[in-house]
Amino acid sequence: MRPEELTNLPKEKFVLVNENKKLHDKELVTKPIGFFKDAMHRFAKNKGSIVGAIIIALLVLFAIVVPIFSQYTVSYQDTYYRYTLPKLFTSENIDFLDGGTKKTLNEASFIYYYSMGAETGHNAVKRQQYSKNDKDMYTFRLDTYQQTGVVFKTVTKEEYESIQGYQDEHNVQIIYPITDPSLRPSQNQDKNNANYWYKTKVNGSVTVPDEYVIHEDGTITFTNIYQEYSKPVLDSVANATEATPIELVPKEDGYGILLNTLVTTDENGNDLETPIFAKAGYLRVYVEDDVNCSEVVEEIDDGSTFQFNTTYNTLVTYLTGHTVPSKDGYHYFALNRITGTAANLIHIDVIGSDTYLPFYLYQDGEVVTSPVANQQYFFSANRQKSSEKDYYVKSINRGTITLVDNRNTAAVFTAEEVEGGHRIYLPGLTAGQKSYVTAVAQGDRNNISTSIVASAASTFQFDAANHTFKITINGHTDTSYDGEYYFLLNKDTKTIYLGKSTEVDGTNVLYLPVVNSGDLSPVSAIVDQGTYKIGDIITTITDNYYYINGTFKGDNYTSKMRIEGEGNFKYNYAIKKDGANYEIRINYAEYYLYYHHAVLHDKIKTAHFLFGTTANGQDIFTCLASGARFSFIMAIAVAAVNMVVGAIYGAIEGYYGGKVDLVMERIVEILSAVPFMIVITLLKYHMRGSSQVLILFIAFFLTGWIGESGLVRMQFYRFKNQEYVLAARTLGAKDWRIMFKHIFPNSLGTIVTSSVLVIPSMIFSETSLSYLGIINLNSGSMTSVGTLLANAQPYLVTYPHMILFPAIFISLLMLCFNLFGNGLRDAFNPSLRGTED
Amino acid sequence: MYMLKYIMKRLGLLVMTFVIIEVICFVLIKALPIVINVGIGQDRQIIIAQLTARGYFDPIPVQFWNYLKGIFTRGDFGICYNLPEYRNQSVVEVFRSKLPPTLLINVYSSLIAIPIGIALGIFAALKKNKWEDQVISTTVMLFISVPSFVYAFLVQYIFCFKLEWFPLTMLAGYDYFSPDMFLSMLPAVISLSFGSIAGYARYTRAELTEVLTNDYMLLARTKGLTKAQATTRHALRNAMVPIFPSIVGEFVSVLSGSLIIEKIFAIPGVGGLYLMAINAQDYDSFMFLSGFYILIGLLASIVIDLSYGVIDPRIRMGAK
Repeated sequence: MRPEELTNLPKEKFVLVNENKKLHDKELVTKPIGFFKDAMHRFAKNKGSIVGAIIIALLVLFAIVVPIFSQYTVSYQDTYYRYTLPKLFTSENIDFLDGGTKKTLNEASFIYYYSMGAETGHNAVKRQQYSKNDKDMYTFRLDTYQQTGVVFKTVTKEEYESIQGYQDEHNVQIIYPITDPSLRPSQNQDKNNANYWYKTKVNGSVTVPDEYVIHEDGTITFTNIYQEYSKPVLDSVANATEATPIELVPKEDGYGILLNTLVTTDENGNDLETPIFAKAGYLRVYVEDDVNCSEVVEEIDDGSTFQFNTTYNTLVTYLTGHTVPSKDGYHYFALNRITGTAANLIHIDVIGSDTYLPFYLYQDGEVVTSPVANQQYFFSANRQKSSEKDYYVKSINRGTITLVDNRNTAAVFTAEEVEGGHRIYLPGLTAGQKSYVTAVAQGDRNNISTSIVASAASTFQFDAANHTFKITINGHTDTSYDGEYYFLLNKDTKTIYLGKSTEVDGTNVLYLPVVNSGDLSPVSAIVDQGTYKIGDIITTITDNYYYINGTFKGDNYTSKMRIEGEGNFKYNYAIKKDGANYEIRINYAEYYLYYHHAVLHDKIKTAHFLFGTTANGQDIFTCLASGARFSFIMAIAVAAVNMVVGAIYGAIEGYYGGKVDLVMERIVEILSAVPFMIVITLLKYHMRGSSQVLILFIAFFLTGWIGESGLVRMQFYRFKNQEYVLAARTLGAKDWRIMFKHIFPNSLGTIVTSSVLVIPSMIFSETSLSYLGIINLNSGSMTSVGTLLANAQPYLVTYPHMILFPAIFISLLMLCFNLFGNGLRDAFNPSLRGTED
Repeated sequence: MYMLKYIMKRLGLLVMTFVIIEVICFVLIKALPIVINVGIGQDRQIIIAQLTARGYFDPIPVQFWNYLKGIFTRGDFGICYNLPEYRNQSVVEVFRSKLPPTLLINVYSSLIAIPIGIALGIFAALKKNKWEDQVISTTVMLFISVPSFVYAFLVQYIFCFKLEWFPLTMLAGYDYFSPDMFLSMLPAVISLSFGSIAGYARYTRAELTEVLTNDYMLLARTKGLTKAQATTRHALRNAMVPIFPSIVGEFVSVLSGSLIIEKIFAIPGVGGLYLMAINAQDYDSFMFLSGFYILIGLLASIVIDLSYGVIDPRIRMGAK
C-alpha cells in the first residue's frame, strides 16, 4: 500500500473491535503471590544458597544436639588423656582416624611404649607391630589412648578395696604389681614413671638387669620383672611383728628416746671435740597434703643446701659433711632456719617469669649478683656483718614464694640475731597452713601483713613407702626449735642416723617433737637397744616388716585379679604410704573406666574422643559444639536487638529528615568511626567485674545497629514521598502508623538480609577477640570457638588436630552464611542480583 | 571550586568527628583507676611519683589541657609506663619503631594482591559463565569466606613446618630489607594476600561484566577494534572507576595492619603493640594507638570518596 493511500482512508474501512462483546476484567487465574513467598521462590532456585542453608542447619543442629547427648561436658578434663588424637574408627585394622599416630623413635623410646602392651595387654604400640630401619630407628603406630600406660596412684583404704571389688566384678585388671621405691631407676623422671617396670633393679643389686631382648624374628621379650622386684615371702610374720618399737618417754615438751649411753669419746678415750656426722644422707620434708611428692635427692657437695622444690611443694634438704653444725649449734636441717654459717645455702627455684628472685646474692655482705628471672640462685646466709640487710617477700602463696628485692616495698623478712650469726625463717610451704615466716609489713601501700607464726606441732613420722622420715612441718615447737638433734635416713643403707641429743638427769635424751595429730604415729622404726654415739647407726630397718606376703599386714583383701607370684616369690601389690593410704600401680585406661563407672557414676562409658582432646584434656567435639552454641545464641540475640534498635533509629532519621536527620546522622558517623577494638577494650576496662559475655553483648550492640539504621534510613528516604504515603497522611494517619505500617515493610527484605549477614561477622569478631585474648570466654563450663583456636595455637606444629576442627568449623560456617546471605539478598532484591559486595 | 569546597567540608567533618571521639576516649580512659605493673628492679613509689609529676592524678580537664599542651608544644603523647619492654619510653618513639614491619607486610601483600586479584577478575569476566569463570568464582567465594587466620594456620603448618620453606615466625631484629627477613615475612604476606586477592577478583569481575554488556562496547567492536583493544581501552577504563578508589582506600588502611596475623607470626608491629597496651593497661599508648586507628579509618573513607572525583571527571562530589 502506498503511503498516500494510507492518509485518506475512508471511514467505512474502519471496523470496531469487539463490537458485539463487552469488555470485562478478566478474572485472575493465579493467586497473588506475597512478597516473602515470591522471595522464597527465587531463593529456592539458587542452589548454592540452598546448600549453604542446609549446612548451616546442620551446624546449628550440631551445636544444639551434641552438648545434650555427649558423654563429656566442657568442664570435663582429664590430664592423662591430654593431646589425644581424633578417633573415629575403633577397629584394630584401620590406621586412619583411630586415635593413633605414626612415630619413628629410637630404641629406648620405642621400648618404653612397647613395654606397656607387653605387661598389661593394653597396646600403646598398635598391634605391637613395628619396623626397624638401618639407622636403628623404630617406626610404629602409637595409640594415644594407651600412651599413658600405668601410673602410680595413692588411694585411701576404701578406694583400694573398691577398686579390688570392681576388678572382681568386671573381671578386669586395674592394679598391677608395684615396684619397690628403692629399686626404681635413680633418675627422677624415671623413678616417678610407673611404666619403667623393666628398668627395675634386682633386689639387693645396684645394677639394672638386661631389661629386654629383641629377638631375631622381631619379638621382644622382657625379663620377668615381677620376679625381679618382688620380695621373698616371709617365713614367719611373727618375727617382724614382735620387734619392739622404740620406747618413747613422755617429756614436758614432747617425747624422749632413752639411750643407754651416749659415748662422746673416741677409741682412745679422749673426748670427741667434734663428733663425726654422717657423710651422706638426706632428709625429706613433705608438705602435709602432698602425698604424691617425691623429689630430687642427689648427692651434695660440702655444705647443706635447702632447696625449695616448687613442683612438688616440698622442701628438700641436703645434708652432707656436717662438721660445723655441732659447734655453732644452729643446724636444723631444713625445717625452719638458716643459721649464720657461711656453709648454709638457700636455694630457691624461680618458677615463672613473673616470679621474682628472692634475694640478691650476698657474699660476705657484698652484693655479688642481682636477680635475673628464670634462673636459680644461691643465697649465702652469711650476714654476720650486716644487720641492715632486709629481705622482702612479696607474697606467700601455696608454696610459691614471691619476694622482691629491697627496692620495692613489701613484707620484710627480719633477720633475727642469734648466737653466732643471724637467721631468718624460711617462708611457709603450703597455702592456708601455718609456716614459719615472720614477716613484718612495711610501707604505706599494699600493706601486706603476713605475720605467720609457729604453731601446733611438728611431727616426725617414718614413711614406710619411701623409707624416709616424713616430717610434717606444720608448725614448730620449742622442742624442735632448740633441741639439738636430727634424724637422717640413708635410703641406700636403710639406716637411721642419730643427730645430737642432750643430757638430762644423767641420761641422754633425744627429744622427739610432740605428736598431736591422732592419725600420725610417732616414729615407728625398730630400734635396737644399745650404745650409740652421734653419727652411729641406730637401727637397721627390716624390709620384712613392711611387706608381707605381697601385700601389707592388715590388708586382708584378696582380689582374684591379684597376680600370684612364681615359685618362691609373691608380688607387692601395694605400698602402704602413711596413715591409711596405699600407693598402687594402675593401668590408667582401666582405672579411667572404673573411676567413671563406679565412683563418679557419670555418662562416660569409654574414653573416646571424636575430635581428640585439648592440652587440658578436654573433649574437642563437645567443646566445639558448646562454643558454637554460645556463638549462635549470642549472634542471634545481638542481631535481633540490633534489628529493632536500628530499625527504629533509621525510621526516625529517614522519616523526619532535616535537622533531626542531620544530628542523628552525626551521632552515627561518630559511633561508626570508632573501631570495634576500642569499644570493647574500653568496656572491658570499665566493666571489670562483669561477665565477659555481657561485655561482648554490649560492645556488639553499641556498634552493631548502625548498619541497620543506615539501610532503613535509605528506604525511608526512597518511599516517604510516594503517593500512597501522601494518601495515608491525607486520610489522617499518624506518623507512627505511616512509618511502620506503610513505609517500613518496604525495607523488611533488606533488613532480613543484612541481619543474616551480620551473624557470621559477629561470630568472626567473637572468634578473633577471644583469639587475641581481649575477651576471655574460657571459664570452667564455657568455651568459644575462638578460645579453642587460641589455646591450640601453641600446638599447631605438634598437635594440629586441636586447631583443625575449630578452624574447619568456623570456615564452613562463614562460607555457608555468605552463600546463604547472598542468596537471600538476591531473593529479596532481584535488582541487585549479580552485583556482589 | 565545588571540589575544593567539598574537600574542605569533608575535612572539617573529619576533624570534628576525630576530636569528639578522642575527647570521649580520653575521658573514658582517664576515668579509670591507674593500674601500675611493677617490674623487676622497679620501685612502685618512683613510678607513682613519676606519674604524679606528669599530672596523672590531676582532675580530668586539667589532664586534658596538659595532654593537648604536651602534644602541640613538645609532640609528647605520653610514656609507656606499663609496658615492661618499653618502660618509660615515649609512646611516639615506640610506635615509630613498630611501624616498619606492619607497613612492609601490608604493602607487600597489597603489591601481590592487587595485580593478581585484578587479573583474575578480568579473566573471569572475559570468560563469563565458562568453566574458568566458575572455578575462579567458586574459589573466590571460598577465599572470601574463610577467615584470614585460618589461612595463616594453614600457611604456617604447610609452608613453614611441613615444607620448611620459611621460618615459623618473623625474625627478630631491625634489618627489614635483608633477604632472610623478607623470607620470614612472606608467610604473613601470603596469608594476608589470600583475602585481598579474592576481594579484588570478585569486585573486578562484577564491575567488568557489567561494563562489558554496555552498548558502547558493541560500538567499539563495530567500529573495528579487536576484542582485546575494546576491552583495554573502553571496558577496563570504565570498570576502573569504582575499583581504583577501593585500591586507594586499601593502601591507606594498610597502615593499620592485621592484629591476628601479627599475633600468629609474631610480627613486632603496631598490632602487637596495641594488644600489649590493652593487656597491660598502658593508657598512654592505648590512647595514642586508638587515635591512630580512628584516624586511619576516617582518612580511608575520605580518600576513597575523593578519588572517585579524581579518576572520573564526571563525578563531582558536592556539585549541586
